Amino acid sequence: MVELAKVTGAKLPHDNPIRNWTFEQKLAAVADRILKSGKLAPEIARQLEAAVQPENLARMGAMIALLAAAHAFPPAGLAADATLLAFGGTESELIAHRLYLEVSSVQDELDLNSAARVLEEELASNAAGKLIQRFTGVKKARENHAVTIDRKQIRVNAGGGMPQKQNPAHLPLVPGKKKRPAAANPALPKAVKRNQAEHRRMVKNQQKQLKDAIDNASAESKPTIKGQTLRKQGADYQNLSDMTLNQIHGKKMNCNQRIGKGVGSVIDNVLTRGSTSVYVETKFSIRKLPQRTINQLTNAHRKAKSGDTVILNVARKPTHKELIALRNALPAGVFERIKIVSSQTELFTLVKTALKEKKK
Amino acid sequence: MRSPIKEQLFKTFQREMERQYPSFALTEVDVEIVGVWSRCLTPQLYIFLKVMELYDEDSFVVEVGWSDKSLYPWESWNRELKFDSAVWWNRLSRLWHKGVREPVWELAPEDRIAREARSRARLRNKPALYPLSPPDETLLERVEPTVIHALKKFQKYGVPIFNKLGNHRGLGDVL
Repeated sequence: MVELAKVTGAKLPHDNPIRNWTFEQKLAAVADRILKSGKLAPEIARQLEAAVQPENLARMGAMIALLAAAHAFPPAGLAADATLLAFGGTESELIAHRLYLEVSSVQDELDLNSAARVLEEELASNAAGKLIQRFTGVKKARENHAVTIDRKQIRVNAGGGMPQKQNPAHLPLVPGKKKRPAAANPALPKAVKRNQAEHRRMVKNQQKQLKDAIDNASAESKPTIKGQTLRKQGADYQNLSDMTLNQIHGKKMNCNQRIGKGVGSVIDNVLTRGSTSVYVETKFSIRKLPQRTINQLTNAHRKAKSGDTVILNVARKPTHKELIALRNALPAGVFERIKIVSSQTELFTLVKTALKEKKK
Repeated sequence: MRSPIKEQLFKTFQREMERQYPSFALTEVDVEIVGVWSRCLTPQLYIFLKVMELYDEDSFVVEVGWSDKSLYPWESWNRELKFDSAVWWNRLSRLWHKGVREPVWELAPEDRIAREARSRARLRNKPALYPLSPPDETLLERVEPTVIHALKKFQKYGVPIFNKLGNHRGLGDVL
């Protein structure tokens, strides 16, 4: 474990408001929380430790200067990624860069927890690290392209017998044909796994399908097609989530349940078992936060008793910025009460657990 | 639900309620519900019919209930039908349909059919298509028959419950 005092040079200044901490102090606190959780794969934890070592922080200082210089290129994050890749960034540097993007917006304790949670999820999401995949995507794509060419050559030359080391089955797969890891939770109902597959495709293809719908619309329907398609995409996701929630046995589920008055008075699902309730509001994305959504969550919070759960089910996983915006838009105490999920399997597991807990 | 459709739905329900159930009066209108009609049986017993739009769809649901107060008992989640209860409400369609999916009154069933087709397409890794919904004019024409169908179901499944309630409370048939 990295000695974080080395990073900060001193103990964290608890008497000083977090918004006044230096970037290194914030980073140390976030990294500390992630590493202490013990959820990271050893290799990823090692890279994270390396990322917050003083020498890497010095390099990151240079990178921050580059970021500032690249600020004119929208979006700044992409410009910085490109810079990193151009400089042949190591995996540790890439993690450091991601940390920089998340940590630099930390203003208070809640932000620290939120940044730690977001990064921890990303870092722990699979053995290879989706994060690393994302940031090394360009390099991998180049490598895979080279491999594809090799494979074509191999196929052309395969007539005379293929040496074992050149067998295409042993070569890395081309992008988009990566073999998915086996299902993590075999206890999930088949329908939930199927819904998860549909969820993945829904999110992946959302923008393309919206564009297709607009492109294919007639001239007179152009003004309304975008709004209509977005609304339908939301309804599709709502319908999919209803199907997932229906897989939970022994619950009573009310759809479109009134929980207040005025705008935002109706919430998508209320599930009950005995005296325990789970309130679920489903959105495709929280990039925009209309007053209706704020009111729905506030009403659910107001209505929820101790032991009840309020869930915000968002198809497209919220970014850290979106989470901060949500927290700022909600009345005090509401954000802390809400659990945010972004997959059908998570939704199923969380609701099932929440309904079981009080029963004991 | 689209605004002109919601407006037409409210007008049609209001007209049909006045024609078929004149003892009911409109008591509540809110942004996300079409309307609540109620009748006072005694100062401690009110019966209700509520129509609620589904926000993202051109569909609506109907609820029936009673309360010992003059306001619709939406805060109570008592769905167990006991005539001694002070309050009760349920979705009208739940009185005859016991399946997982709750039936709703759809003004644009084409949207549901297209949604089911998209779901199948996604599972087969094929493009999901978003055809245009029927225009307002088409839906406006569908409002009246749909409202009449909903009120027929109310007559068949809702009214008997209110009559049983009246008999249980010594008031006889109330509708």
